[in-house]
Amino acid sequence: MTDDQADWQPSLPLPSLSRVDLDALLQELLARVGAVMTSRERLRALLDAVVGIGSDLDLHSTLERIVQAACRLADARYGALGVIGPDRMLIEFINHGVTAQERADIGDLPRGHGVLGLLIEEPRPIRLHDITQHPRAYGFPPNHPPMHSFLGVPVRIRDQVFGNLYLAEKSGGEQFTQDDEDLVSALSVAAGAAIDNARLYAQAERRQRWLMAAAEITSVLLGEVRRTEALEFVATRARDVAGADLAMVLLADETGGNTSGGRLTVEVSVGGPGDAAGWSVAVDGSEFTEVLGRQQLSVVTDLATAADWPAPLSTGTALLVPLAVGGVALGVLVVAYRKDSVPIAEGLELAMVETFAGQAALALERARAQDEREMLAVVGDRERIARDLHDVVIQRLFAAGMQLQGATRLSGQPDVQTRIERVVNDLDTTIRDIRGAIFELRGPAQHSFRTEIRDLVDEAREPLGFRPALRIDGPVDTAVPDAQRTALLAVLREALSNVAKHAQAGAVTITVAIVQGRLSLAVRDDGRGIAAAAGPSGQGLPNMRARAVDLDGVCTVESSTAGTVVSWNVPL
Amino acid sequence: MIRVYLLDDHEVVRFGLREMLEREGDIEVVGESGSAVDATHRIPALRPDVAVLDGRLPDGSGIDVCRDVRSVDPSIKALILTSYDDDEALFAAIMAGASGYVLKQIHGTDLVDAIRRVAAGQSLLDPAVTARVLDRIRKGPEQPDELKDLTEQERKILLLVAEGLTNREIAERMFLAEKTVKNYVSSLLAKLGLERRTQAAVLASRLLNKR
Repeated sequence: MTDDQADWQPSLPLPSLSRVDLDALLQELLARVGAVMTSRERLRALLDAVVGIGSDLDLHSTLERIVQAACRLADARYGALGVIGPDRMLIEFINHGVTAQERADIGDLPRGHGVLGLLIEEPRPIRLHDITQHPRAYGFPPNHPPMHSFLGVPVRIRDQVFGNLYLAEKSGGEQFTQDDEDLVSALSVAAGAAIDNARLYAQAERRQRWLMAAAEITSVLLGEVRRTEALEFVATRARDVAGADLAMVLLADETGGNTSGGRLTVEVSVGGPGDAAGWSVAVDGSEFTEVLGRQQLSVVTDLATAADWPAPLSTGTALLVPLAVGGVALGVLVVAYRKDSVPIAEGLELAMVETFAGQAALALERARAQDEREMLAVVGDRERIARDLHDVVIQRLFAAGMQLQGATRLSGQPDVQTRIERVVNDLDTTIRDIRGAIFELRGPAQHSFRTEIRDLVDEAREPLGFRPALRIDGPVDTAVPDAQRTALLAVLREALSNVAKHAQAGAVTITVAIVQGRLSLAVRDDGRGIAAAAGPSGQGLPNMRARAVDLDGVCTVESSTAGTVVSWNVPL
Repeated sequence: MIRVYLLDDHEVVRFGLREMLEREGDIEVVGESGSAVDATHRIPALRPDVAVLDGRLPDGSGIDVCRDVRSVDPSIKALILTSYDDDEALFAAIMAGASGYVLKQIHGTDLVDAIRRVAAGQSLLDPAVTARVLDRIRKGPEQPDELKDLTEQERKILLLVAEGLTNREIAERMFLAEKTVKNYVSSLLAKLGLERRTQAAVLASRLLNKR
């Protein structure tokens, strides 16, 4: 061969032309080799980028790395990753190359109109010489840096389009090439996997935290549960684990959440307005109706409009989770995110929240059962004491008093009789006091007249500085109609307030009695009398008289320097 | 002579009452007992003019005793003696079909006078007050208290009780067995909290009903 060549070469007729071709070919070969080298370098860069983005499990930093890697690979000045939300608009926009100052000047982040929207509609790579010349161009907002060359590639996670990678301004004013497109497409596949990975990891981690929170509640269950503590625990954990900004526990009132006309009260609020605890909202017409009625979790886009809150709330998306035990809705757990933040609420997560809320409801139920048990124990104790007082103490005092009274007759001496009488009177007073104590121990029925009188007298204790003595004779609860009740309470209040303001009394005795078809009230004090007190003391008297006259009754006031007696009585 | 029977589970109380009454000269205590069951058997046999009955007893209630006795012999008058407050005593007296009530108080309530008036055929219960109680029962479900827990049948029987009918009379009027009426009255007493049972049980049942 070598011989042939040696012979052949000089005999070639057109050596110069071939040389030219060869040079060109060599040039091209070299260029190709260079290109291969560049491709290899870029391939290596791609691999590095893939390894880089895959090594992080935090979703946000993964997204940032993807944008950076894409810019480096395609030699672009600007890059961004738009995350598509449930409404097919961009809900997040992570960018690179735009300074913080520029970003602030631009204002609102793109939502996905114009060319960016084109990619959302048709998730296929798109390459443009000049983005501003495209028919779908929407125009840049003021203060936006100029951009022309453009490359957009969708980022998929399996079948789902997660978002789009946008690149602009290839360096040197050049256009993006097919190679750029291929590389960035390759990167986007890797990015999809990395994002998926990070998401699954985050989900697994949150799931773990929900499980831990639920387990914590279970362990709290085994100890002693205080209602408020349990509620605070539930709210705090829910907020932390969900990564939310606000968590509230609302409990249904007595009528229960299952009936209409019910109300919910905010028992505990973490991260919300300071005064939220104690708020009350109507269930009817609110988003809570379904949550309580069907005991189904509900996601609302704006908590502020979910119900008629007493004060404005500035929260966005919220989860309304029923707190239900055995088909009875006790209330609702609300977990809300700040406006414009991106809550990650997917099927799995919602199921976890529901499980957590179920545990929480169980804890509440247990706390309630414990409270109830304690209350029953207290009531049981009081009842036992009341019964002992009634069955033993009163009976003995009564028996002793009767025997003493019998003894009075045996003794002929008047002073002995007087003394015995006094002791018998004391015994009677003691029996009355005990009867009063029994009444209080038993936690009397609400709205009974007897209770109202007692409450009023108790209230007077503070302004007077001592507790007035009270004696009630007759079946006042049964025998006194409403009008007379109201009047008597008003007169008693007036009389006590006069004593407190003007009389400078050291003792007050109140007697309410039913005698011969009339209801009578007497308020007796040992103060300085009306004459000594300044003018205004008499102010209440016309009122008291009027209240007697209205009911065909009478009101008299006797006053001396030794005290005042207000006597008021009306027919029944 | 007014013949009186005393029912109170405290011997000291019976002793004191007997002493006090017999001192009067016109009153004779013909029998006494500390047990509801005992009294239910002995009172109709002894046929006193007035039976003075403690409202609550360890083995039953003075109200049941009163109703049983008066079903057998409506001519026997009764007074309920109680150490609870007037409203409860009044209601107990009405439920029992008694002629009145006397609070356990040494002064202020004159048992002797009450016995004399009742023996003479008077009722110590104010008709106006009794009417108000009847009214309250009739209003039924509007009442926010224990009365609203009663069934229609129980409410009917309660009205007849409050009108002063004996168990036998109620049984005839409602075409029921006397025993059935007796059971209804017992369950009424329980529902209205007039029998010997703890408030805790009442509260417990309320709490349970609420759920």
